[in-house]
Parts: sequence; structure tokens; C-alpha cells
Amino acid sequence: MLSRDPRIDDISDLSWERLGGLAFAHENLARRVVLLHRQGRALACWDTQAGRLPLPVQKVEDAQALAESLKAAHPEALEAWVVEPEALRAGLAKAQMGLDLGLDLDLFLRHVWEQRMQGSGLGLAPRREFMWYGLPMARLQKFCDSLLPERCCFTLAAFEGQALWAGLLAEFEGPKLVGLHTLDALPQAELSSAQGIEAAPFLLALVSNTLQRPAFGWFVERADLEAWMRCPDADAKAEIFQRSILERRSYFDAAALMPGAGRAESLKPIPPAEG
Amino acid sequence: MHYWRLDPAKWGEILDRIGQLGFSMVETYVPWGVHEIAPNEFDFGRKDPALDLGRFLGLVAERGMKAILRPGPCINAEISWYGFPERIIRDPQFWALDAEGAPAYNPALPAQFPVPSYANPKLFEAYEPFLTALAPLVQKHLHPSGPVVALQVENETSYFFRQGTFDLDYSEPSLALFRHFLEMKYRTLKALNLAWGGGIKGFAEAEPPRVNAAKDLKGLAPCLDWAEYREYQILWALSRLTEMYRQKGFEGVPLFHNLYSPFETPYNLPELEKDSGLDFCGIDAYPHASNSGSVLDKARYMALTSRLPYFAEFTAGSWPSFPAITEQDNRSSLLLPFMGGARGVNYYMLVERERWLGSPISRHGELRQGRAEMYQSLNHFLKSQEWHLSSPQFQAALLFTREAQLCEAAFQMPGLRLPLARLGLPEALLGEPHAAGFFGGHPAEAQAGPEALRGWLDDARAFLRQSQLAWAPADSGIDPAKLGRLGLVLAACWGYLDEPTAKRLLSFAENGGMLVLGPQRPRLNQRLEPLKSFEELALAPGKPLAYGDGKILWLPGAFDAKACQALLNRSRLRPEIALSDPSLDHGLHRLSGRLVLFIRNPHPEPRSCSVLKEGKFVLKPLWAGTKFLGAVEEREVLLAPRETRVWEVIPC
Repeated sequence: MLSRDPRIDDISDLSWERLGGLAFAHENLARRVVLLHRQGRALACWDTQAGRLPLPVQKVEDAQALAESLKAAHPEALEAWVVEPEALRAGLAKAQMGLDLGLDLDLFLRHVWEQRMQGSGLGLAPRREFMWYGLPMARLQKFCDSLLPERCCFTLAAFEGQALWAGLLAEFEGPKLVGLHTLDALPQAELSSAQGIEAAPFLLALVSNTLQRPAFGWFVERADLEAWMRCPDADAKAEIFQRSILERRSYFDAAALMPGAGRAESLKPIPPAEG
Repeated sequence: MHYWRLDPAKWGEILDRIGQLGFSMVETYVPWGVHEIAPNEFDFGRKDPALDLGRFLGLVAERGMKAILRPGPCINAEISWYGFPERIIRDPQFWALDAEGAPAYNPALPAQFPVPSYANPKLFEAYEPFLTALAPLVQKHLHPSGPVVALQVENETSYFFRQGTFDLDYSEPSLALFRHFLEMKYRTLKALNLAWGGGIKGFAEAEPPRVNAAKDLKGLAPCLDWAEYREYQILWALSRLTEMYRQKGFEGVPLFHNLYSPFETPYNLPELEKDSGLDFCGIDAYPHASNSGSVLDKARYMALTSRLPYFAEFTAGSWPSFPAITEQDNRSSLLLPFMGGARGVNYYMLVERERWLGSPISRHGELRQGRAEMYQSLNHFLKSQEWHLSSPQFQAALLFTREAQLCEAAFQMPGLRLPLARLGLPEALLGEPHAAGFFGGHPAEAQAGPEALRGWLDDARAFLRQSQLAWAPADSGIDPAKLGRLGLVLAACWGYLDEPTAKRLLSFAENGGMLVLGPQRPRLNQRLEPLKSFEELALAPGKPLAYGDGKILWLPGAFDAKACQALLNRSRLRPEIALSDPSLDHGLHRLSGRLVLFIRNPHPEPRSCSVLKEGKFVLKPLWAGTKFLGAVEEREVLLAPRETRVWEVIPC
């Protein structure tokens, strides 16, 4: 999905800081309980907030089962891991042996994750699919492969009240991601009139005009975006997404993905008042 | 600024903007993979005006500015393949291999790639035509007739951030280099067999370990040699590249390198400066406000160790796959390199380009007001104070001996460092369980291992902060002359100590210094034989031993702050200046006979404190926020969250 040479520019540090804070939240801030073992012999148990824990077992028979019992014993932790360093190393080596050099980075990372998780010395509870910067990559890939036209732009605009809080533009071709920007890539004078999620049609027209490609996107209140990004479970993310739409706190405007969309009339800017 | 990523029509204007910020020197990479348009065919502007390096350097010279070039081979710069041509990356003969024999991919944005082995002479042979093509162009612009005043050899040579001892590099060229290293170290097969426990019929048979399963010292020796070799591979590669640079006529200007951030093994800054032919080696830093204290550590480490304390890259913005470094972050770390003793800083990137955000100059050549003013103020401060004449004052050092670092590395678990660290596991937990107590010793230190070592270091650091002495982190490569000027050295030892290091430390104590050792007393030398220089010392736990004009205090197992404080109390060593709030950082410099004081508030809330010093004095503010102030006298000072301020301390 990520092309070999995407343009990543017109990024403001404020927007990137806000979105990055969400993208890294799971990796950096999540509380974890980790049990290290070596060929089944438990070595250390560590809570990333509380520090060293007593060993719950001396011997690891089934890493996955142990991860699940650890998670049950530590419900305050987001995840429980059982890790054998050598299994991590072997999993990575297996994943990298004979690899297609042309693989996109996101597919490469997913491949590595899946190979690693198949290793016998590793357990994770709750089991989850691969996340990259907080995004459920397998589902995103499926969405892109089956729904994206040859050229388009995904627009994310998060609002705090009526004001734009952060935004992202992801340009796709083929459908590979070929460009990534914050809303700084748009004409700032016009952008200032985008107020609240009701500005979705106006913003999409602005994006289409500026980047010369059909635009679709998610227009969402900050709290829902935060909840969606921080949640490590793909099904729970889908629930947050749908609920925010049903409760009218977000729009997902996908008209550009429908056959016949992206014609001249949809590229015409719509003043916010009409939108 | 990356000339090739910017509109060549804008180069002149952008250089003018850089000058407007008060800078007189510009640095750029010269990317092999971008200039190579077909195998060994290079474009320096003949086809693509954006690649006209000669014109770019001409514009630099026209403005009376100077230039630093960084021609790789590796540059990173967030470009695909880190600046290598794709043909090199795709060719398996160049690949580094992991312990399982698999290629090692660097998962870099935007495209992962199998990393090349820096033990492979063929990699450097493949790079040579680029350097040959570049040489006449650069020679034309070399100082003193041209603007190029320095060249950086390679960029962040680091096993491509894969730090695990038993991770890389097990490729054939690397194994050959390892055996060459063993031959240089042991000289004879007999000596190797004596160290490794026998059974090796030739150096070509020596196999590197892939895991530490040592049961005794002979089992440990190969692991220690492998850990040491990992430093040597970097040294060897940089020596070779430095020699190539010189052979191509890049003479008369300094050649240097940069470490990407850590300065512990396998990154050995003092050895690189001593043995690689490089003139100096800098360190890079990309701190957020919340961890900007790491800049002080790096600057102070370099001030005690390097020939030229230099931040080869210092954050002016950040790259997109990293949590954004904001203007506020940059502001809070702005003065810290100078507070720590750095003599040079390269702000990376002053000019924004694709895959970068947060620079003071946009890629279209526009100044960003707040950021631009910050650098203008800084340059005004440095010039008006004649900062190049300053010298940082140090009274103490926290010495993490290189030997203890190597022991810790030799006992690393075989997995990958990064994924384990990302799970939130601390460094100390990633040691082999049999490391604790491996070296035996006094009952109080018998269980010493990586965890005790890190604990001792942490507690020693806390003690030094609390003491308010002016201190710096260091390792066994500390400049002996600078070591001799210190009053107190806390040396973290575990495993063994090189005889020359042991002698330097003893000589420090003999000449009046206070030497504190732990969590283990050094008992073995680099050959893992008894360390004679320490053997006869009548050290008793927690009791200072008079040694020459100085003292040696042995704190086995855990760091004993009370014993260390008692030692300090009996000495004449006192902080020259103290703060009523010891949680604030301070730094002292002598500058043309004047005393300059920095105070940094590392907290996210405002703090105030009194400055305590013997005798009467006033403080003349030199810097508050980004403003250069006139004379105002005060002794009670207020600091905004994460703020650093500067005063001249004037006796009266």
C-alpha cells in the first residue's frame, strides 16, 4: 500500500504532533505485563508501570495460554506478552529469509509480525492483528484494494467544536499511497472557513481542486478520533467508527469511491454555507 | 540544506535566508544513489540542474559562507535505500546476515531494505567510483581556495540501528574480519586457545558465538571478543573509508563522523578518534522537551572525551515517522549543547524538504517567524559573548567503564533489542540470567550482574545530581589530562578492567583524586587473568582507602550514597555554585576570565530557586527565553517550564 517513493511534505508540526501522539499512543504508552522466558524457563516478569513482578510460574508450557492468564490476572494492563528472545530472533529471521525485495513497507511489517506471532515461544493476550501507527493494516489493505479508484485522496479532518484540530491528506494511486500531507497542503485562506464536521463537502471539494484527484474522507470530532486511534482492537475500532456516524458526531463521505463520482461537478468548490 | 531536493532556482535565496538567521556555514549530504544515474555513471548537474553541486558550492562561496559535505556512502536522509544505489541494495553479495543467516532488513520509511555489511571490502570498492567522480569537483571547492571546510565520512555507522550483540553481522566478510581481529588481538593460535579453552586448529576455524552460554571464563572469552569485534567492525569500516577519502585528495580539511545517539558499545567515540584516521567524531541528538536532559549528557560526555565536542546533527524539526519535535521542543533544548560544553552544532534541518517538518526556513525559502527569531537570537548570543572562547568546568565524572559495557554486551540475550525495548523492558532485564554472580567475588558483590550495574549507575547519577558538583558522564576513553583535573570519579566496573584503564584510575587517585568503585571491584584484566594493579589494594567495603594523595572507596553490590557523601564531606571538593532546588540542572563555564552560569528547569512547571555561592556576587542575565537582556541583577531566579537561562556571575 505504501509506495516506494511517496511525497511526504507540507506537514505542520502541530498537526503532526497531535496525530503522531495518537499514532504512537499504543506503542509508547500502553501498560503491558511481559514475561520473559528461555526454552520454557521463566526468567522475569515485568509490569511497564509497576516494575518487576514475582514470577507467576517457573515453567512456561504454553506461551499463549500463559499470556491469557497473565492478562486475566492483570486486567489493568492493556496487553500481556510472553516472550522468548530467541523465538523473536528466529521469527524475524524466518520472515526475512527469501523475502521479495519489492514488498511494500506496510506489507513487510505485517509479514514480520505474522511470522513472529507464529513462533512457539510467544504469546499475546488479547490476540490482535498487526497495527501500524495505530492503524489496523490488514483491514486498511482490504479496503484500499477493493474500493479505491485509480487516483484519489483520503481526507481526515478532526474538529474540536467547530475548529479544525488536526487533519491529514493521503494521496493514492493504483491504489498505493503516493503522498502524505497535513491540511497545510491546502490553501490556508480558504481552509479557515471550514467549521465543524458539516464542512465535509466543502473540504472535499477543496482537496479535490488542490490535489486534482477525487477526494473522500472522514470528518470526525476529536474525541472519537482519539478513541479510535488509541484502541488496539480492530473490531472495537469499527464499533467506534460506526457509532460516531450513527450518533452524528462524524461523517464518512465516500461518494468519490462510487462509480461515476469524481466528475467535474464534484470538483467545484462548495461554499461552506451551502455545504 | 539538501540542494538536490530543492528548486535550484531558489538555492541562492535560501542561502540568503540561512545567512539572515546568523549562520555562516551550510551542511549538505551528497547522495551516491541520487547522483548515480546508471551504474557508475554520475550526474553532477550535466543533466539535472538540481544535481549541480558545483553551482551550489559556488553560490555558497559567493556569499562568503562555508560548507560541510557528507558524501556517505550511507546518508539516511529519509530517502529510499539511505542513499545507496538500488543496485547495491538488491545485490546479496553486499548483505549483512543475522545469527540465523538471514538478511537483516532495516524497516525504514518509505522502504525497508536488507542492510549492507560494513565488513565487506567489495562494498567500498563499489563506492569508490562515486568518490572518484566527486573528487575533482570537491577539490576545486576545498578550503582555503573554496568554501568546503570539512567532510563527514559516512553517516551514523551503527549496524543500521540493530544494537543486539548476537544479532549482526554474521556474513562471510564479517566472519573473515572477526578472525582477522582475533589474529591481531591474540597473535598466536596458542594464545587464542588459551583464552577460548582450546580445540581451535587455525584462526580460520574460530566461530563467533550466537548466544552466550558461557559456564566459565574460557566460555565467556569468545562472547567478549565478539562484543569487542562489533566495535572493531565500525572502526575498520571508518578507517577504510577515511583512507579512501584522503586518497581521493580530500586533504587539508578535517574528516569526521557522527554517532546516531548512543555512545556506549558498540559505539566507541574515543577509539574512533584515536585509531580510525578521523579527526573527530560527533553525536546526533533529536530531543523532545521531556527528554532534553539527554543533550546535556551527550555534550558533557564529548566535552570530557572528544577532540571537538560537536553535534553533527541537532534537531531543527524532525522526520515524519518520529513523534514530531515541535518549536517548543526545539526552544527548550536550544542552549543545552552549549551548556554541556559543545563547540559546534549542525542544526538539522534549517531548510525543510520532503519528509521533514519543523524547519525555520520553508522549502520555498520563506522564514518561519518564531523559529527564525530563535536561531537569530542564539547566534547573536554566541557571537556577542565570543562563546568559542568558553570552557566548561567539571569537578566529577560518572565513568561507565568500556570494559563493563563490553561485559554487559557479552551477556545480552540473543533476541533483538528494539522489539524488546518497545515492549517496555528495561535494558538491565535483557541480560542473560547467568550473568549475575558470574565473576564471583566478595559476598556483597557476588551477585553483581547487568541489573546491579545499571542500578549502581542510576544511583551514582542521582548522588551526583544531589551533590550539585559539576559532573559529566564518561568512559574508559576519557581524556587523561581532563581526568587529572577532576576531584571525584565514580567508576562503574563489572567483569574486568584493561590494565591501562586500571593504571589511569589508580594514577588519578594517587594524584589526589577520589575514586569510587562498584558494583564490583576489578579483579581481572583484559585477558581475564588477575588484575595485578588492583590485587594488592586493601579495599574494604564502604571504607575509604588512602592511596597516594587521594582515596579509593569501594561500594560493592549497591551504590551507598551515605558512604560517598561521607567521603565527599572529608574532602575540600564543593560545588562552586549550588541551587536551593537541586532538581534543577546547572552548568558553569569560564569565558575570558568571567564565570557564566546556566540553569535549566527540566520540569513541566515553573520553578524558582536561589543561587548559592560563597562571597558576595550578583547575577547579570545574559539569556532569558530567546531574548538577549541587558544588565539586571538578581539572585533569586525564576524559570519557566523546561526553560534554560544564562547569567554572568559577578563577584562584588
